[in-house]
Amino acid sequence: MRIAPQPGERIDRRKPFTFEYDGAKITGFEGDTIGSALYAAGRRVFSRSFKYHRPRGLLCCSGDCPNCMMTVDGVPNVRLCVEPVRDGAVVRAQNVLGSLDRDLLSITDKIGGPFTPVGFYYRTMIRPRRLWPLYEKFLRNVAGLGKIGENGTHRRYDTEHRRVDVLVIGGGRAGREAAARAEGDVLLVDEHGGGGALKGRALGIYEGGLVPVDAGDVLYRFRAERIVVATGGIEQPLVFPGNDLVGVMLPNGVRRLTRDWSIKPGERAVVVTADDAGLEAAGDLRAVGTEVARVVDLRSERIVQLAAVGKRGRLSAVLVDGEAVDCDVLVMSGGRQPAYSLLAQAGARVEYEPRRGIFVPTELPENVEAVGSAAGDLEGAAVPAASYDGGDGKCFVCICEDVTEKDVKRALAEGFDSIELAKRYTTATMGPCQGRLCHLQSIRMLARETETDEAAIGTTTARPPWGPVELGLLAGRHYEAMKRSPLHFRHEEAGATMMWTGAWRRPFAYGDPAAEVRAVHESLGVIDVSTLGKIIVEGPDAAELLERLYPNRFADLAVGRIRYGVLTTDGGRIMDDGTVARLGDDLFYVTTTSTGSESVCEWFEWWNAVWGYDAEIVNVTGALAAVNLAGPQAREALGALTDADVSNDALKYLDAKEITVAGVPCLALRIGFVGELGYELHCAASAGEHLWDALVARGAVPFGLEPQRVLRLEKAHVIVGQDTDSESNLLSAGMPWIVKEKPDFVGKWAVELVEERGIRERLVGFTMDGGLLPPEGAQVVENGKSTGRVTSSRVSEQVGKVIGLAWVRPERADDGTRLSIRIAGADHPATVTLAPFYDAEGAKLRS
Amino acid sequence: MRFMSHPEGVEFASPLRHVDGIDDVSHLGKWEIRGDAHGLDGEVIRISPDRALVVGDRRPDAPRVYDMTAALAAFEVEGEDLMRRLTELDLDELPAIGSILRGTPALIERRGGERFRLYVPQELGHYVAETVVDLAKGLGR
Repeated sequence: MRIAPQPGERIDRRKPFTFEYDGAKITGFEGDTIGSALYAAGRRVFSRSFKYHRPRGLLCCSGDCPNCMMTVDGVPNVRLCVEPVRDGAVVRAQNVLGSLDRDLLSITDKIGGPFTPVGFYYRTMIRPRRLWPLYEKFLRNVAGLGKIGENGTHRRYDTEHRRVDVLVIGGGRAGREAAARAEGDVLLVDEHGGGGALKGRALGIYEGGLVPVDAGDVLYRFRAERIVVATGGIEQPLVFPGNDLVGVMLPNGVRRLTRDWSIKPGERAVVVTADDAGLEAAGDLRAVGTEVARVVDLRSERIVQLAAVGKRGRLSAVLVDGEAVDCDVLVMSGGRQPAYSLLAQAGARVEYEPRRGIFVPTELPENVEAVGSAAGDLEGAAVPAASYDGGDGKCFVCICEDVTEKDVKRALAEGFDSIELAKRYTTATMGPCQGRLCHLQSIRMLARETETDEAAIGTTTARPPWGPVELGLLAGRHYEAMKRSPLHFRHEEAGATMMWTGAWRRPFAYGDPAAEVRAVHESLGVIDVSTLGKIIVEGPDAAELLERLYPNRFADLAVGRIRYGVLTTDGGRIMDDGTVARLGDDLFYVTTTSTGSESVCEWFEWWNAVWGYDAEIVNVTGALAAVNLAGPQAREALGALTDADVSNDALKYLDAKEITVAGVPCLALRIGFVGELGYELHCAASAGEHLWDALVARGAVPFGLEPQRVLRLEKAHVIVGQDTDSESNLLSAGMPWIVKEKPDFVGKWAVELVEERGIRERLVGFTMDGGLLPPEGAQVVENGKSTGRVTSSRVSEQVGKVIGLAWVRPERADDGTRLSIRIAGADHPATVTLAPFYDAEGAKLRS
Repeated sequence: MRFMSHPEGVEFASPLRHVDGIDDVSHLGKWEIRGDAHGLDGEVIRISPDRALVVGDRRPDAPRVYDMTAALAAFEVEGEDLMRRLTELDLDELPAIGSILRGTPALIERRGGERFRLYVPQELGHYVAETVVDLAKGLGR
C-alpha cells in the first residue's frame, strides 16, 4: 500500500533491498525498516502477545513497544520498526504455534482468561512440587518471547571505553541544541543515529558518570564529566477495551508510516487524543487519502465510553459514547510522559504534576542536566481517565506482559496495593518496553482504585538497563586469562595432556604417568615447576621479617642454606608453604605454592608495612623458569652440564648455590618434593627452554603433575589446599615441629590456644589393606558413622600398596590404628602409617 | 643474583614468540628500581615514589635493582581505538598501571602519536597478545 512519493519521504525508491519473511521475498527501499517494508507489503499482524497470543500490529514505530518483535537472522526479539532493511535478511515470527495469522496458541485468549488470572502460576502450578519442571517447560513454550540461538549464530561483541567531557543522550531538537551549545569534547548518542550522532541506546547512568551505550555489536562504556539527558517524551496510550487491536496506533506510528515511508495506513480512521499529536496524525492520514471519520479531542470533549471492536484481532469499529464508527485505524494519544528513567537512575527525584497528569524529574545530580521534553518541557495535554469503559473486550494496562485492568484490580484485592508490589505481582512494566507505555497507566489505575492520587502512589525504582539488551553484548568478548610457563610450548610439542591449576596450564602427564614415576625412581626425571611462587626478600630487616612471619626460625638460617616453611594466618591456620633459601645476610629467596604467590606477596608487604621494617619484597614468579631434576642420576646429569662442584659435600641436601648449567646461570636448590635426589634449578624465564632442552638431551624424562602427585604422596608430603583447608592448623596437620619457641610470629597466640585445647582431628597417612583405591573425599567411618575423610590417594607401585592421606579423630591417629574407609557403599580396612611410605629416613634425598 | 638475568650466548625466548601480528619488544632490558629513582639514566617510568621501571640495555646504577627483563612481556600497538577496547584507563594520563582485558595487570605508556607500549607479566603475555590481535580484528585490522 505504498503511495506516490510524498514530499520529505525518507526512502530512496531507486535503492531496493530484498529480504525473506516466512519464505516469501519482500522488497523495501533504502530508508525503510523491515517493519515498514512488511507493512507496505500488506502485513498487519506482526506478533502474538506474551500470554494470550493476541494478534498485535505496528503501534509506535519508535522502537518503544513490543508489538513488532521478530527473529531476524537467528537473533530474537528484534524490533522490526527500527531495524533497517537489508538484503538477504531472514525474518521469522516468534512465540507462535502455526503462523502469525493463525496461531493455535491463541486459544489462551478465548478460554485462558478465567483460568489464567494474574499470578496464576504462583498459586496453581506449585503442587505437586515435582511436576514444576514439567509445568515450567510447558509455560516456557506457550508464553514469552523469541528463543535464542535458533540458528546457532555466534555474533562478535566488543566493548569500548571512551571518555568525553559532555555526553548528550537523545538526538532530538533539544539534544542537538544542547550538543551544539556544550563545550569541550562532546558526543551525541541517539537510538536512531543521524545528524552526527552515534547510533546506540543509553542503557543507564551509573556512578561516576558511567553510561553504557548499546550500539548493536559494540557496547560503549562512556565516562562523561557531564551528562545531558534529552530522551524526549514518550507518547502514552489510552486504556480502554480493545486498546491492543491491530490498527490501534500512537500518533508517531502514523506519522512515520505516512511521512517517512509514504504508506497509507488504512481506509478509515478515528482519532482520540489528549494533545496536538493526535490532531497532527489526523492531518497526516488525510494527506495520504485515509478518511478521518471522527476526531475526539479530550481537551474539549468529555467522553465516558471508549472501546475498540475487532474481528479476528483486527480493528473494525470504535465505540465513542454509544456511537459506533467503522474504521480500520484508531489513533490514540494520551499525551506525552517525560522519559525520565535515566535521570531517576542517576539520582533525580520524580514528582507528580496533577495539572498535566505526568511525572517530572527534579533535583538532578550535579553532573546531570535534563533538556527538552525529558525535563518536563511539554505542552499541555488533557489528563485522560485511568481507563474507559464501553465493551467487554480486554482492557490492557501493559501490552508487553498482557496485564489487563482486571488483573490490576485483582492484585489490589489480594492486597498488593503498593506500586512496587503490584508491579512484581502483575509484572506490569517488567516487559520489553520497560514501562515506557505502561508505567503511568499502572500508577493512574492504582490511584483511582485506592482512591488516592498519583503522587501518593509514586513511581517504581528506575534501574538499568533502560530497554532490552542482548546478554552477549553485556558479556562482551570471552576472556580466559591463561598463564603459560616459559616451557609451555615444549610441553605442547611433547604431546603433554594439559590441565588447569588455577590460571596456569600445566602438564598432567606426557604419556603414561606410571612410567614417568618409574623414571624418577630408577633413573632421571625433570618437571616444570616454573609456576611456583617466587619472592625475593632483601634488606637489613629481611631476616627479622621472615622470623616474625613464619612459625619456623629463619634468623639463624645460614647463608647458602634452605629451610621448609609454613605460613600461618592470624588465626593460626595454614596459609601457604614453600622453601626459604638464604642467599646473603640480607637476601632471601622464598618459594610459595603455585596459586599462592600473589596472596603471599601481599601478606609480606602488609606485615612489612605494619612492622615498619626495611625490606624489599619483589615478586619474581614470572621472571624465572624453574625445573626440578630428580632421580638417582640427577647429580651425574647436572655435573655433566656445569663446571661447578655439585658433589654431595659441595652441594648438600638443603644447600642453595648459584651455578651455571648449560651456559645458563641458575639458582640451584637441593630440595626434594619427590623422594629422590633432586635439584630445583631457577633461571631467567627467557632461558628456560634452553635449560630444559639441555636436561632432556642428557636423558631426563619429562614428568607431569600426576606422577609428581604419586611421588610426593609416597613421601607423605602435604599439598596445602588439597590436604589442608582454611581450618587446618599446624598441630592437626601433624607438623608441630614447625612451631618454634620464639617471642612472636603471626598466629602464635592462636597456635598456643590450639595446643592448650587440643586438636579435634589429625591428618595421617594410611595404607589400604586391599588393593582398592578410595576416591579423594571418601569417608573414614566408625560404627557406620563418618568420622573423617580422605584427601589424597594413589596406587604406588614403589610402595606396592594403595596409599593416602586422611583426616581422622585424634584418638584414631596413632601409628598402626585400623581404619575403615567407605568405597562405593562398602567399608574397607586401612592402617594408619605416620612415617613416609617411601624412604622414611630420607636417605635418598641426602645421598 | 646472576640467575635473574638472561645470559649472553643463549637465544632470548620471548613469551610472545608464537603470536603473529604483534610488535614484540620483550627483549628490551627492564629493571625494577626500589628506592629513589631520581637522576637515573635511561627511560625511567615512575610507578610510585619509591618504585620505578627503567627500560634500557644497561643495568642502572642504584642500590636496589632487580632485573625484570624476562619477567615482563612488552609489545607495541597502534591506535587509540584499539587501546579503548583494551582498557578503561585514561589514555591522556599515561604512563599508568592498571587493568586491561578486564583484570590483567599492565603498565601502559604512549610512545608518541597513537603508538602505545604495554608491559604485562610474561606468563600472561601470550594470552594478552593473542587477545589484542583478536580485538584488532574486530576493528577490521
